Amino acid sequence: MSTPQGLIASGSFTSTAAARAIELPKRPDYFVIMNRSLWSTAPTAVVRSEWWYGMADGAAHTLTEGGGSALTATTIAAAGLGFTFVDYSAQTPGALVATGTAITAANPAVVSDATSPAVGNIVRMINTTGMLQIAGLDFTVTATTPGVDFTLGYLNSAAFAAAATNADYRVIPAQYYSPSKRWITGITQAAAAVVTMSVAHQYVVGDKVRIHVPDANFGMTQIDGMLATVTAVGASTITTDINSTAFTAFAYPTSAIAAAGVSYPHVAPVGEVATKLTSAINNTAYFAMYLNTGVVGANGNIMDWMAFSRDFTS
Amino acid sequence: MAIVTRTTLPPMVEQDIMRKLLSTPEAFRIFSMFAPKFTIPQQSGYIYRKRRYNRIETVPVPVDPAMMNPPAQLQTSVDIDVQTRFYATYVPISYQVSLINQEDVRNGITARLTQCLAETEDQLIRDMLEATAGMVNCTGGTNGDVPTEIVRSDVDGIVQTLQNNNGEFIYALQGGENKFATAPIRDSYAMLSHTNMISQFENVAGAINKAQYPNPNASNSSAEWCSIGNIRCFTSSRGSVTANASALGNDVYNNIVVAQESYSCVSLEGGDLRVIYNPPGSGDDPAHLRHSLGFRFTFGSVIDNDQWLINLRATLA
Repeated sequence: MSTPQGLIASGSFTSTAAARAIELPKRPDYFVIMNRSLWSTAPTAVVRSEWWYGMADGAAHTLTEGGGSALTATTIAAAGLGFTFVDYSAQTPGALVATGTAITAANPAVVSDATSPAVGNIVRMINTTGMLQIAGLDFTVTATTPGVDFTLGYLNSAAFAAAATNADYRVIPAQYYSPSKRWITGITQAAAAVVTMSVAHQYVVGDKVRIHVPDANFGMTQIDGMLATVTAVGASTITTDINSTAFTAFAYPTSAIAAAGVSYPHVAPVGEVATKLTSAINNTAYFAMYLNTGVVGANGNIMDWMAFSRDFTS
Repeated sequence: MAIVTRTTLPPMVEQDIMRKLLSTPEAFRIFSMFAPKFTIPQQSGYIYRKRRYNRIETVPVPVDPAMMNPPAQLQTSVDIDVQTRFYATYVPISYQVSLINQEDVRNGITARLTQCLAETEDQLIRDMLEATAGMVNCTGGTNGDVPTEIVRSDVDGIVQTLQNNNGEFIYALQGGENKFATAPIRDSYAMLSHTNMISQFENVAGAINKAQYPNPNASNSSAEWCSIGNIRCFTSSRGSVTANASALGNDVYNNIVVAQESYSCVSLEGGDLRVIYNPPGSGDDPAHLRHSLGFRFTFGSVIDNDQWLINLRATLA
C-alpha cells in the first residue's frame, strides 16, 4: 500500500563544515539535502544526500559530482558520517567502550583510548581502576587525538595519587531538562568561590544554585547546602557569591576511599534572582536530524534541505 | 454407519470473539501523586513564577537600654520559574476500520490515549526530578559498587537531612493496634522508586510491608509497597533509573524522597487536557475516508523547595 508523502519542514543554512543538528517537528520518512553552492560546478564533491526511514544511523545515499557534469551514486555506510535521526528525550547511553587503558593524573586528565568519542560528547567513565574517585561520573570531552586519546578538560586530576590503569566509558545523552544538576570537580578557596563542573553547564549569571558536598571525604563540608547566586560563568565554571576563604580545601578522596562508598559533590539548580527570567525549568527535548560531516558540505556552502513524512496528517 | 462430522458439516464461522478488549498493562503513576497542580491564567504568559521569602535571622540580643533601634534586616527571596510546553499526539484511523472491526475501535483508542497522557505527565515529572534534584548515594551496603544497595542507615540519613531542613511529613503516624503481625507506622515522607527496588526493600532492616500496617486500608495507593523508618515506599515499573551510572557501570536507581510541598506541576488555563476527535471529512479528507483521535495538554513541573526533596541513589544487591 502506498501512503502520501508530505513536506513537514524545509530550510537552508550556511555550512561551517562542522556536524550540526536540524530540529524537526517529528521523525521524517525521507530527508534530502542539496549543496546549492556546488551544484553543477564540477566540484568533485557530494552535492546531494538522502536518507530514508529504516537506514542505519550514520548512513546516507549520496550523489557526487566527479569533477565533471556526471553524477556518481555513492553510499555512506552505517555508523559513518551521514545522517542520524535523534530523539533528544531519549536517555539511553551508548554502547560500552572498554578499550581505554589509562587516565593521566594531570590537569587536564587525558584518557588513553584508541576509540575516541567526539569533542563535545558527554562520556560516563566507569571501571577507572586506580582512579575510582571519578567512576560513574560524566565528563565533557574537550579534545581528542583520534585513535590515541581524548581529554576530560574539566577534570584536574593532578593531585590524585595515581593514574588510572583502565578506563571504560559510554557516550551518554544530555539530560533534557534545563538547567540541570552537575557534578563538581573543584571549588576554590576564595572571596568569590569558583565551582568547576565535570560537564559544560547551562547556568547563567543570576541563577540561584545549591552547592552540595554531602561527603566529608571531599573536604569543604562548610559549603554543603549553601545557596549561591551565580555572578559569572565559564564553559565549565560558575563564580558564586560564597566566600570560601576560610573553608577547608576541596579535594577528591583517594581511589580506595571512593571505592568504599562516597556521595559525590554536585550543583543543583534552585531558582533565579527576581530581575531575570531566563532560567525557568524547561523541557528542551526535540527531534532532530543530525548531519555529520559527510553530508553537511564545505565551509561557506549554502545547503538546502527538506524533510518529508508519510503521515496522513502531515 | 454414516455420521456427520466437522469435516462434512463445518461451522460457517469457526471462531467467536470476546467483545471486551483485554486489559492493557498500566504502570503506577507515582510521580504525580504528590504534586499539586497550579494553573497559569489565560493571557498571562507561559512561565509560572513562584517566590519564597528567605527566613529572617533570629534576634537574641536585647534592645539597647537607651532604646536605640537594632540593626535592620534585609528581606531576601528566591524566585523559582517553570516553563510550560505543549504536548500532543494522535491516532489516525481509516473509516473502513471503524466500519468492519467488531470491537469499538474509538473507545479502545481513547482509553489508550488517556493512559498515554497520564504516563507522559508522570514521565515528565520523573525526568525533571532526576535532572534537577539534589542527591545522596547509598553507602551503607556491601555490594562493592558506588552507590551501594540500600540499607537502613541510608534511609535514616535521608530522614535526618529532611528533618534538618524542616521538611514536613506527608503521612501522619498510625498507632499500634492489637492485631497479630502488625506494627505501628511512623510519620512519613514518601519515596518514589522503581519496582526493581522491591526485593531491596524486603531486605532493609525494619521494613514493614503494607499488609502489616495497623490499618492497611489507610494506604491511598496500590503503588505503596512498604514502610521503612520514617519513609513510605511507592514503586512503579516506570520508576527512575539512570542507566549504567554506577562506578562499576551498573544501573543506578533514583529513589526520590519527598516532603510536603516539595514539587509541583503547572498548566495553562484552557490548555489543559483535551481529547480531540476529528470525524471523517476533517482537514484534507474530501472523501471522508479517515478520522482521528488525539489529545493535547500543556504542562510544566518544578521543584519548589529543593531542600525538601532528595534523590537517594542505589544499585541492586
